[in-house]
Amino acid sequence: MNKGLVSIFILTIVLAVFGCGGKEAMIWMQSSENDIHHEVSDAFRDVNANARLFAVYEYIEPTDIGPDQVKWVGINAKRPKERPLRVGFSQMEVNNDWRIYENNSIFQEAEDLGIDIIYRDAESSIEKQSQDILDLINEEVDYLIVAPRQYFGLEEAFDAAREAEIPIILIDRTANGEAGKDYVTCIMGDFIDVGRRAALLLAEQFPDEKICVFEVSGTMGSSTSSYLSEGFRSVAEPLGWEIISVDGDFDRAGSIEPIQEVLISDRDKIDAVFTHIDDSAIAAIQAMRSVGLTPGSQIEAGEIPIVSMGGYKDAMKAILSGEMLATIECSPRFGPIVFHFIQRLEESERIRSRIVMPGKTYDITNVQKYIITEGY
Amino acid sequence: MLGKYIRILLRRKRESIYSSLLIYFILFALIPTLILNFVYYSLASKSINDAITKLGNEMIVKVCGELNYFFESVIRVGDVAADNQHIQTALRMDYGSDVALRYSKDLEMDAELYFASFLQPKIEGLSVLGANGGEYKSYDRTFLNQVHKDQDWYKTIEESKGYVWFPPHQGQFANVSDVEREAFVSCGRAIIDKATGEVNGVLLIDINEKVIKDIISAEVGESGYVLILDVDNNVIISTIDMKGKLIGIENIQHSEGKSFTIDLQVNNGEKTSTQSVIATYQEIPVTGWKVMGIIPVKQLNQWGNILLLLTGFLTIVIVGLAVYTAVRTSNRVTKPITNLRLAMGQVEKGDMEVNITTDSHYEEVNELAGSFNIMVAKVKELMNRIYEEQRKLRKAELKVLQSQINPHFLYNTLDSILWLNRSEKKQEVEILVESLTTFFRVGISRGKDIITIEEEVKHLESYLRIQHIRYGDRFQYSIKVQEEALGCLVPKLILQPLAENSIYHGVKLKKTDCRIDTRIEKQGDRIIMIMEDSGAGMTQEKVSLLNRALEGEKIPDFELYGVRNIKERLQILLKEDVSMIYESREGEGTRVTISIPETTSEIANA
Repeated sequence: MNKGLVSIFILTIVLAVFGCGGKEAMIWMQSSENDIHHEVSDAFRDVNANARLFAVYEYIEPTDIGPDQVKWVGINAKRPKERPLRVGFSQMEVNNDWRIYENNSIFQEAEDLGIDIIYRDAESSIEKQSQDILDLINEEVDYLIVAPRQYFGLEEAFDAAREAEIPIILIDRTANGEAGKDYVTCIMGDFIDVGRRAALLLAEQFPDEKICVFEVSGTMGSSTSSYLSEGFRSVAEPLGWEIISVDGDFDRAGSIEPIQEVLISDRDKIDAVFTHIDDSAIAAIQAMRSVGLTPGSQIEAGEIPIVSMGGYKDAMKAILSGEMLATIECSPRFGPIVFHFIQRLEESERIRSRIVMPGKTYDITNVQKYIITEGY
Repeated sequence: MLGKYIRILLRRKRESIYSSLLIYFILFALIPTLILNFVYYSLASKSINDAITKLGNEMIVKVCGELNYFFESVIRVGDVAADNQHIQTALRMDYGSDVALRYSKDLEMDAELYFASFLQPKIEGLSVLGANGGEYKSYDRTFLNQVHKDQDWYKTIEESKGYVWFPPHQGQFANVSDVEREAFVSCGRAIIDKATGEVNGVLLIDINEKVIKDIISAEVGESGYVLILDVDNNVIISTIDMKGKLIGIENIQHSEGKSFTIDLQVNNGEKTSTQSVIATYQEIPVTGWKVMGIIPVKQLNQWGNILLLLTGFLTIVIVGLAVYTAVRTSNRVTKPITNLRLAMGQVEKGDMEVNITTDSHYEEVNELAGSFNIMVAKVKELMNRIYEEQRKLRKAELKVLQSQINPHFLYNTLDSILWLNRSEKKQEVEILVESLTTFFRVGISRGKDIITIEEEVKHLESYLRIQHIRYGDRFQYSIKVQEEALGCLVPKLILQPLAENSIYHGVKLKKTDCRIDTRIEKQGDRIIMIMEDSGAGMTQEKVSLLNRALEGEKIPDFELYGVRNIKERLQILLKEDVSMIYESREGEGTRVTISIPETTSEIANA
């Protein structure tokens, strides 16, 4: 904790000195330390008023792509300054409250900044999303915020946007295309890092053990799930863990059934559970109870620890009540971050082509502090 | 009224057949078409209206039934959740500061509600908010960071007995939702601790407005829309984004389940808009809300307008055809008549050489033209005949007159008068002069062709008397006329030529005392005139030739002594069965018998 406080103090000083200099104030930070995530994320929360602090986001080095692939990109802002910004927002779907939070965050921030939002919901269809983006281009928006449903399928829309010189900012997932060309930047979590950290959390619980981990994946084939699996395996495989995977589709109701099936057939094998989203973790808790297993952190007592990604209030409740080990924050609060970078682009600054959303680890030690303020 | 007008229209002045035909044709096509179309239009539009209204009624009953069924099932979900023993137990607990226990219970109860929500999959979710701080939900929507107990909706539910229904509101009361884009109908009830009877929490069921809209939209056709009204007649849900309060429908409470026409007034807070509609409504028993089906009269009129357009179009087509046919037919009928009229004009001017074609489409017109042609031909023929007859008649008369004033006769008579005068036979001179006078007077007869037998006989007698005086006692004569025959009419100058023949060809040749007896009698409707002489007579051969010549046979080199003239004149003047027969025996005498019909005065005056 001390270390964290020192870090944020240093950060504040550094930014106070160099912050006005913008991109010249390059301080490369190591992203692998959990503390960094806490501090950056806390700084965002605590000093929200000073949007400049978002600059620090740029210094979390992504692990899903090589550092050499990250570029500095800028745009030629051609919009006359007098009228308010018009930003198009293409959401992939709104089927859980994570998306509702994401929407609410973007709308709230846009309202605070006096920015007009034109919203389209693709209703889980990549084809509709592509069409939505083309519609928004026709509406002559100044920027496009896109939460891509799938990696492939938006190429045509990207081409049209490039032709219309409308910068696209991808949030929470990436898509097929070249940063700096097809889209300006992609703001998302570093899910390889999250997967790795989740595996490390379990490794701490089972030192020197070859365990069997039940992995409840998100939508199979989505970049998020692929990265999470990749990161998790980068730790698990060298340790010789066995991994059983099912598709949970990032959905609470939908994942109960597949989880139960595995729990029934492999109930004696499973030592730990890794879920890609808190929804699946909650479902796993319910399913375990149903089949007579006990979720929890008391491994000596035969309880099965669950690690997840998210930050749902429900998951925090589970951690607090000892039914879940930990969850790694995947914040839906994109609004302040996205508009911070849009404003930087408006001021003809250059930004990084990949911006990592930091993610805190919530466990029994800190969850009570964050449940009201950060839980969603 | 119409008939009168038509009569006036048709009676105006004189007019051509063409225009009358045209007017009649068009009227006969137009009036039935208009009447038929009008009847068709009113029947069809009425039945469309009836069908739409009936459909609307059935639809509203169905929608209302479905909604009520749905709301009842929501209440069942609520009852199941509120009576759940685990929920009851969890709400009864006092967690104090044991947050871990409370959260653990939260998650446990979430699972209970999760399964309860399966009873009605259409609900968004249900939440239980305990007085002890526990908050349970059936779905993944996180609770808002608020003290639920302090919220108005919580208090409303807490104080109520039974279920409270909240009309659609943006966002959810207790959970995180997309406030901008989501609206919910909520239903709540207080949860009563079965152990103490105290209220220890509330149950809240959220139903996405879309679900209800889907139920009511499923049955709505394109022609109308459906509103759901709360007890104060505020529009709470509609299939057409209508908002506001309906004004003036308080008085229609009694007409539930029936259609009525109303000027629908909607006040949305700022202004009141009015629309004329056909409406029907039904109350949803569970919520006390009303489902109202609305069909704008404009919409019905639109159907009517389509019909009207259709019938109007039909009318125009039929009338167009009628006018076309009328013009064609009138032309076809009147053209030959016009031709006929022109031909008649020619005839009027005296041109008898007119001949009109008979190739018309119409049989009657052809017959007319044919008859006209025949008539013109007949007229022509008649005129020729009359001309010929008159010519013959005048010629015959002229001959007779010529014979009467022939100088030989006149000279002989005047010579006789001279000699008698010298012999001082005054009385005979007087008779002779008087007879001559009578002879000429009757012969002229003021130009008349027909005279009475009395006059004809006078004429004959005057002639015979003259000849008698001239020829002395060489012949005697007698004339006997039946009393009734005296007044009868005959063509003039018939008898005298016969007497002349008797004298010159009979009496003169015989040289002895002869007789010339004339007898006239009426037999039925015929008049028989017989003149008999006892003169030289004729051979049988000659008599036969004479009679054949009188029948019209042409016999060359045969002297007829003017008898042909007599017969011709009789035939021309009487035009009927006339016979004139000679009988004779050589050396004994000759008899001629003329039989003619009794002549009427009309012919006489003609």
